[in-house]
Amino acid sequence: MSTATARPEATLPPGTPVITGWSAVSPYGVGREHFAAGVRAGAKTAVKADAALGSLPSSDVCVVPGFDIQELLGKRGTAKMDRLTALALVASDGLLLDGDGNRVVETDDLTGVVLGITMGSLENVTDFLRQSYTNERPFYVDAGRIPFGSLNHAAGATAIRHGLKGPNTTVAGGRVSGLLALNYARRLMHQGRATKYLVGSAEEFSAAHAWFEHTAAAPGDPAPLLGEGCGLFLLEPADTAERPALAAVLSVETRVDIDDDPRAAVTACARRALDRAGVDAADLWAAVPCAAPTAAGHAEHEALAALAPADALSRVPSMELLGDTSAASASFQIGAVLAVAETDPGSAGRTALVTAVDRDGAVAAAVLRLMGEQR
Amino acid sequence: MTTVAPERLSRIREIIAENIDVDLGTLSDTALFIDELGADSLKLIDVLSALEMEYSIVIDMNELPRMVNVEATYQVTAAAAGW
Amino acid sequence: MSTAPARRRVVLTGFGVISSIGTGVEEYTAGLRAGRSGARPITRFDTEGFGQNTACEVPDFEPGRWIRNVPLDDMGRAGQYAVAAARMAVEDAGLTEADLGERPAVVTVGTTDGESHDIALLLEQELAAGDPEAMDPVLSRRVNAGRLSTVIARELRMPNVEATTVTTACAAGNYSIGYGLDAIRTGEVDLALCGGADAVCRKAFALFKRFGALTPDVVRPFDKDRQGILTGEGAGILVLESLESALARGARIHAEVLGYGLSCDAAHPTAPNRDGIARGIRLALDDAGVQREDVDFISAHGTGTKANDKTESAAIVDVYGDSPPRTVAVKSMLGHSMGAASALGAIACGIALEEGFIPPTINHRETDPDCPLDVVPNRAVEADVRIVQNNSSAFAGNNAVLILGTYGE
Repeated sequence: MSTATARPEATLPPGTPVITGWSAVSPYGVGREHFAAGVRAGAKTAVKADAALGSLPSSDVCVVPGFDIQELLGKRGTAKMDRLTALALVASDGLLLDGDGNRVVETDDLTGVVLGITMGSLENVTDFLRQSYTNERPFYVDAGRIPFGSLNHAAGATAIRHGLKGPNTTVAGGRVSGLLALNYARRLMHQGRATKYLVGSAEEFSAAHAWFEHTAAAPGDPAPLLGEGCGLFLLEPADTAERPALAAVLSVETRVDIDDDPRAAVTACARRALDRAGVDAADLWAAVPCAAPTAAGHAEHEALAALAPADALSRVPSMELLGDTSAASASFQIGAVLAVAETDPGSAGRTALVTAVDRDGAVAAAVLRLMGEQR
Repeated sequence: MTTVAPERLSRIREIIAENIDVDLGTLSDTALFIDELGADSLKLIDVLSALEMEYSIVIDMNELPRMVNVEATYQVTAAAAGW
Repeated sequence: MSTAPARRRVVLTGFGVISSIGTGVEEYTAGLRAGRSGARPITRFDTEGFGQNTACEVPDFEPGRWIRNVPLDDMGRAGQYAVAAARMAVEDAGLTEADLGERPAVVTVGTTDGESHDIALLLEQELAAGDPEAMDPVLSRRVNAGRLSTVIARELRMPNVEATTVTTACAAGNYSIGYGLDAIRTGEVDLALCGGADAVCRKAFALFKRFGALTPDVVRPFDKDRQGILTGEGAGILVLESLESALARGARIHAEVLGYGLSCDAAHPTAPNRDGIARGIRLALDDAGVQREDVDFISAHGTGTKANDKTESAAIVDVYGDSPPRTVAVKSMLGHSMGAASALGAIACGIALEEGFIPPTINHRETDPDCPLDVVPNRAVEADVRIVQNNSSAFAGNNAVLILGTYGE
């Protein structure tokens, strides 16, 4: 085991992307503090679904408690807003504003946004189509809800809310999308296309999403317990960062499982991420799988168990506690690492591995170095 | 000009307030949607589609520029509905 | 920027095209040159009650010609287009599966609606049965947009890739190509398969119908009597390669990717924005190191809606002044193929550079005074084309502009 360096930031190459802020809207509640406290306590989040959600394939859900869109975002422009956009906007407020609503993060014309998703707001899209099929005429649809059905709407709305004119991108990849977004931001910042990035991923819970996931579940897999939320990070190059670095992104690697062997794919991807980061698996402080409730999720766990020390694998409570949060999951995993690290001074200078596997075959892994900054 | 039916006007006012995001209490029948109430042409499409659904009618999109305030919107709707 | 990274040159060595005016580079080229129209009656879904039934569907698509390794049921129509175009692109590039294999690469597919046609079918099943349990698992497993890019990796047997689906709607094709450019420029990979795919679906049709943006007859971009878009479909996939890699294997080079620019309007969720588009164009020209006067023509976003064409024209004039380059709209032929649109536009630009002609804006009668552009009306023109700009814009205020050039030593 290597010992932690006293000033880890001194060892970072210039341009290394560093996380200088984060925010989460999760089944633990609205805001980073609720998320961090919930993660550290290892608390369960599953509740009986509210009747207002309609008929569901499973009565247990992990939804953001008390997520009232108009209460959180005001009445103007929110009456027809989809939940996914609202989750992203509330998370972006948590990242850029203080408790009184004052902007605390400087932005400029090259501040970018990249958000990972699965399929946008399935509720919005299926409601739209349902109206088209069942109303008197097929174009009798609620026009005011149409803009929210665009897969890039949440990222664009975040830009509108905060005046962010830099590269604005949405990437789809389900559970890996948070890491795809992180890699996207890393690459575009490296090319000088953005000075800093809001990067993260989001998923909404809805009856539509639940039924799609229920019918898609592989024979033998249990009915999925679904979660939702949004995790967002502020990413800046280490040499121009305006705030203390909480963690450095040492590597992000991706792979596609083309042989229906997720364990081998995760192993190969994680090894490459560690190699790229110059980190020995034996030195990992934390290893956090996405813990999907599927065969691929079990394979991911086995792959990490064979790779990382047992104390690293148990450092952060399992993401199962949040339900399958799909696109939000990888961002929650990173948030969970930061949450546990911020109360553990021994984490300073140590490294964390975060992995994800998605039903569509994508696999991703990231290695972070924890910088020992206390929020 | 069609004679205005008060209950229909009142319902149309509600639909407009909801779709251009203004407070029903402050919505006058002559205030201009775009110039005075901050609506844009997309919001007017929301109004048009909501009116179509409410009254099972089809309003020609070319009528959009005429729908400048509550009063004019009532007339456009009345013409499409044959009131 | 503070740390100007070393930049490697990036070239296009393969094109794959599934379009309503022709499948494959040869047919697509012929279609562009002839000013072919892809408009035809919709077969994909029931249009009863819409009062319109025209779209630019791909006729006679035979997925089995291109898709050999992955069961066809594993993907919807958009996925099949993406995979077929990817297979075609690597074959056009002269790359075999043995060349690909473990090779690190980026695979990015842009899309607007992904497999929204399947979502509509699932809803039909639910409505018919009155029960969501009736939804077909084969379809519900394949609706997520991420699959559009991972399925290419599976079909081409390329495990060591970053498969990213970019869902920036109607600008997504250019976004994807730009991402591949960045990945190769940094030296992280030598190869990228990038582009976009979408399939005609009820969602897009009903949406544009509701917005009053569906033309009742034909698409007439920049015309004073333009009345809107036709929805369209297809896929365009481009093989991007580092110049070193292309030269080392003696590959035929279609064109060079000179640069791109991304801008966000941060203004309105659906209305086009003059400043945002102009900023995207300027960023692209700067990134490419290209002077305005060197641009030979612009392939416009040019949807044929009142709002887009007027706003885009104004942005072009803002950047280029009173005598902008000739500006054409391939959507006059292809309709709006959504996430595939700017990828098919980029391939049209690449073909124009290689073949020395500018594709026309068809269905044109009289140019709108608000669009003071030479739109190359109705007939392609022969021209020595060296540098081309490909515009795209999307809902949510996402603009992406790509600059391509002829490859010179």
